[in-house]
Amino acid sequence: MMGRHRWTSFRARLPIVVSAIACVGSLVLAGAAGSATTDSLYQIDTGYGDFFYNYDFTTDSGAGWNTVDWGMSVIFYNNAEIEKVKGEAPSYWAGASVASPMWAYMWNNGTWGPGYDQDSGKKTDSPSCLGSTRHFRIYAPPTTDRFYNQSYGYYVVASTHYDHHELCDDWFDDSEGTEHDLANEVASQPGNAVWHDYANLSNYQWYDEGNHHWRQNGYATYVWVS
Amino acid sequence: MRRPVTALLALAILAATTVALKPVRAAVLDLVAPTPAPGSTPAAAAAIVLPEPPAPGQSVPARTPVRPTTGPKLTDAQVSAAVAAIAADAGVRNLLGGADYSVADAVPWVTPGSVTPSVVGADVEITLTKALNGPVALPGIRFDDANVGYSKLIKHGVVHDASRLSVLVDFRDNAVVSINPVGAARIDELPGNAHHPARGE
Repeated sequence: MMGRHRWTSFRARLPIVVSAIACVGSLVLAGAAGSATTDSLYQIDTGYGDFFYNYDFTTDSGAGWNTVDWGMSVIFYNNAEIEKVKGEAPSYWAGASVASPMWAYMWNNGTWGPGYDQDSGKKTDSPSCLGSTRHFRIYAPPTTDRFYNQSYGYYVVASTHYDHHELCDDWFDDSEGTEHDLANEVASQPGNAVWHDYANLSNYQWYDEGNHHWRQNGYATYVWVS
Repeated sequence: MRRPVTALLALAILAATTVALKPVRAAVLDLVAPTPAPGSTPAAAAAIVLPEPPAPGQSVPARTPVRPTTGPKLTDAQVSAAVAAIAADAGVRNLLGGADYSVADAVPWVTPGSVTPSVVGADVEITLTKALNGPVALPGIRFDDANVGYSKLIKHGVVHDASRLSVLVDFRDNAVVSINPVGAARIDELPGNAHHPARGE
C-alpha cells in the first residue's frame, strides 16, 4: 500500500491525557456507575493517521481503562455511513428511546478530531423483565457520520452486545453473537460482503464482571458496504 | 493585601504538598498499575495497526481467534467447588426434577472496578439431558449501580425449551444465587416480578 502514514500526534492524545491525569492523579480506581474495566485498551490505527480506540466508553470525559463499555467488533467500510448501516439492519428497530448513549474516541486525520462521538445505537426489541435484546452502537466523526481514508474508503466502527432481563435481574453479554448477527444482516443486502473475525483488535475478554459478562474474542468482523 | 498573601501561601503549601507526595503517589500507582495496562490510559495505550481490508471476492483464509492466556481464570479447585455447590443446591434439584445434566463451561465472576480483580464466583453453564418446559420460579440477582453488591430476587415465568442453564455460584456464600435459561430458550413472564428501570449498557 502506498504512502500510508502511520502516526498519532501528541495533539490527538492531549485531551485524553489531561483527563487521564486528572483521573489517575486522584487515584480513583473504580469506574463510573455501570462501567467495566479492561487491561487491553489500545488505539486502532487504520492508516493515514486515523485512529479509534478498541472500546467504547461510558463517559465523554475521562475515558480510560475503568470506564469502558464494550469492545469494538465490526468495521463497515468502502461506502459506509452511520444511518446507512443502521438502515441495512432493519431487525434492529428500537433506537434512542430505549437505548442509552455511549461514546467512542477517535481521530479522522486532517478532517475531524480528536474527539468523542456519541451513539445510543439500535436494538432488536424494547427492554423487558425476562426477554433479551441484541444491541449495537456505531461510531464515526459526528460532522460526517463516517471516517474516510484511501485504504478503507468511507468507514464506521461498531460495538455489539446482548441485553438480558433489563427490567429485572439484568445482565449483558454475547458480543460475539450480536457481532455476527449484525454483520450477516448488513452483508445480506445486495452488493455487500462479510469477513468474520478478520482483524485482531486485541479486546479479548471472557469472564463476568458483575452484570457485565464479557464474551468477546478480540477479533472484528469486516463488512464491505456497496 | 491580606487575601493575596493568603492565596500565595496556600498555593505554596499546595505545591510543596504535591512535590512531597509525588514519590508516595508514584509508589501507589506502581502498586495499582500492572504492566502494560490497566494502569494505562487511552493516551498511554499502544497502537495496533490493522491489515488492509479485503476486497469483494477476495478469498481470506479462515481465522481462528487465539484466546490470550492472560485475564482472570478459574482454578480447578474453584471449578470443582462451583460444580459441588450446584449439585448440593435444593433449588437446582427441584427445578430439574432429578434430570441429568453435564457441565459445558465455567468462567470466572470477578469484582468490578479493580486493576486486580479477584474471583468471587463462577458462571457455570450446564446442559440438560431433557429440556425444561413449564412454569418456574428462578433465583436471580440484580446488581447495584456500582455493579458490586447485589440483591436477590425470584423470577416468575413459563420457560420453553430450556436445554442450557447459566448458574451463578457465589463463592463467598458457596451458594447458587442465579439460574437463567440461555441459548434458544424463551421465558414468558408471569405476574409477581418487581420491575426496575432499565440501566442501558
